[in-house]
Amino acid sequence: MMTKLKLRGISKNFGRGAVVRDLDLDVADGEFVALLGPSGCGKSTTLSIIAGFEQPDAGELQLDGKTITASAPQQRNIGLVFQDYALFTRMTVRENLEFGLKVRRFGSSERRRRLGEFVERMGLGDILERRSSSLNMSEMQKVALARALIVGPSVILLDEPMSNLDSAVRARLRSELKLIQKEFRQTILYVTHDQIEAMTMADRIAVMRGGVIEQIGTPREIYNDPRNRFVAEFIGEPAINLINGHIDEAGNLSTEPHGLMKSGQNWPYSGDLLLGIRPFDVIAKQTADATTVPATITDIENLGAEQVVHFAYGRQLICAVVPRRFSRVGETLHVAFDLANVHAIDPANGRVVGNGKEARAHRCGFEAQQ
Amino acid sequence: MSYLSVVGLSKRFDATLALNSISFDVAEGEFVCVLGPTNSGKSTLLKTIAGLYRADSGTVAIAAEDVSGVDPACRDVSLLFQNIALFPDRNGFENIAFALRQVRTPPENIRRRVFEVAELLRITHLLDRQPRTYSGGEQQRVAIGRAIAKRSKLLLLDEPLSNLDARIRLDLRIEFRRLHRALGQTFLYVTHDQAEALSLADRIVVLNGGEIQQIGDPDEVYDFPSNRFVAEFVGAPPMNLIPASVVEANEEHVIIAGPGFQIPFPDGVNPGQLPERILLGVRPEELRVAIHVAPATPFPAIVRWIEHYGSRAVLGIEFGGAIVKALVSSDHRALAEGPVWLGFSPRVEHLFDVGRDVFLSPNGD
Repeated sequence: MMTKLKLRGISKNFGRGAVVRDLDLDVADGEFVALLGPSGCGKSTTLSIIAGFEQPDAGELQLDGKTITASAPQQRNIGLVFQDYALFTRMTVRENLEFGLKVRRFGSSERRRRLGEFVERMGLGDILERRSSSLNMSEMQKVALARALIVGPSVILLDEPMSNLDSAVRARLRSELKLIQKEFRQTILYVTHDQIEAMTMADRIAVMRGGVIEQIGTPREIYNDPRNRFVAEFIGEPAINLINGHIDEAGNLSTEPHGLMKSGQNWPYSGDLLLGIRPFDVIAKQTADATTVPATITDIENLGAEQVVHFAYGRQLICAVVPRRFSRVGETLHVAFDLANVHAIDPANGRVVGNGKEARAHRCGFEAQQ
Repeated sequence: MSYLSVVGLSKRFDATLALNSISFDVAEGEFVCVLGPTNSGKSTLLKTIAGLYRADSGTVAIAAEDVSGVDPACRDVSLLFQNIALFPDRNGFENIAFALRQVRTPPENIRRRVFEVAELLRITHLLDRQPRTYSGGEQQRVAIGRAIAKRSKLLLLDEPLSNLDARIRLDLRIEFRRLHRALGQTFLYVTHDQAEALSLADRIVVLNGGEIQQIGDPDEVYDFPSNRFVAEFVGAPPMNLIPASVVEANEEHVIIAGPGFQIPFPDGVNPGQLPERILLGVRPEELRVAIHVAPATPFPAIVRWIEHYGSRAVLGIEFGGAIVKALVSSDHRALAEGPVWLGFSPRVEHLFDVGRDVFLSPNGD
């Protein structure tokens, strides 16, 4: 697929140190990429550089195959949607939509054609003649998006557009935005701190921390194969459990209260490590068997469809997602782990050194060689 | 015994009736969430209880004492707001000590109490530092410390997690539960986020348009929504409401049908009270989805989109000309756009009588 937007070696300093460091990123035509990270990770600065509001100290920026690093913001064919939407509040929705078309000197018949098309496809007919100051938050969001889309930009940049909205409205807008993006095959770069927004809408997610991209991949890759502890902890709700464990010279995995979890796994690594186990991969049973350790529930969170049970595992606190009404506080459950989905993390540098699936594959390859 | 008692509270702002005769009780040590969308009146309710607004009518009693006319400062309550307002020129210690100094606590007691609170919140390392050096989560922890230092019996919290990063929000949510248990205070917590309410509260007061929609524990509110608003507001994704009507009714059985399906009417409802038009309430996790037709999944449908949540996924499924949503495990075999088969068996309590605007009850009363 054609590359729409290309960042090479982009760096930016603001006095006290690098905010963005030697950043490379490709966004394909029609792709939805999320820049995801905590406050201060450099994601908004990256967006400002792409929009042209900030100049990078180093690096090159290409849009549609042309270098735009030094171009003025208005010369870049880029649409913007911000947290506060910045609609012209004294104008009607129609006037807001026509504004960008007029600025870009579209002829009147083309203006009419585009307006008709977008009003129809985005369902804006009912609010077209209303002042934008009279719209509710989700209507404003839709109009802001339509205003960006209507001029046919190469890429649309969205900076935390849903931050001020109620969670129910956010959930509805996520699916709407994704559908609109797919329908128009619009290239989008979306900045957010909310992993759920990134997971549910993006084709690929770039997870940022300290001005660098820690990992980039599809939502499923990022979730199932995090490259390091930061990504593992930042993605997923409830957060991944981290348990102290050990792999011996023979490649066998053990944890403190559990003892040997399974022999002959043949992990390609030995030593002390952290085991990252998603709460969904903790198996909680009502009865004990050879693979389980007893654990007493200290707390339960109701999620509606399911529940999160918290319990002590040795000296550590971990949690598991179980069906509703599965258990009560104070009750003892019997806990095991789905080893295939265990991520082994080197505690010294936070790198994921292997996961249960690889360990199994490694063992199979090893046996085949013999 | 009820610690906070709100009776017939009403409040009008110009043309808007923000609170319409609100009554509820909160027991001592209970964690109650007031849940509602923007402009439902939930913050007005909290501010009226705090004494920041004066009610037009009705009373607020704290510990069996009517405080309706009492100055906010003289009510034994602490407040925590969404917008964290720490004193920027005072360090963490002084911010937490503020309320204690106001009530002329002896210095050694202040010191002891501030450290106690800081340890509970794991913020002792922030006490010497100025608020501008804090991250968002640290600011809110210090603000929590300031609110709880005074040991008021009642803590009023107004969307305390709303302005924080998603990850910090999740961490602090769990913290609030731990805190509530450790402190033994009564918490009244206002939120728009149904996940916060379900996971935190002993009981939930659902508010909309200035009126109470339902009061109940999280399971009751989730399982037996009292009306359509609650059914659609609590639960994410919301409950599917599938239109249907009775097509056949005789001594033996009642059949209901809608676009693309026909199912027997659930047992346990009075046949004399069959509604004309029905909405079948089906939670996304109750919708059965399969790649093959089977007795449990007899109705054809099409997966139009998939939202990934990691270990779970939500399927947007076109069924009978509308979209229904299913919550499935991410290793589900139907996790691809294209044809699937659906099945559902709603319970009586999730059958919504469109004409009477109510959910049916099992015994037809």
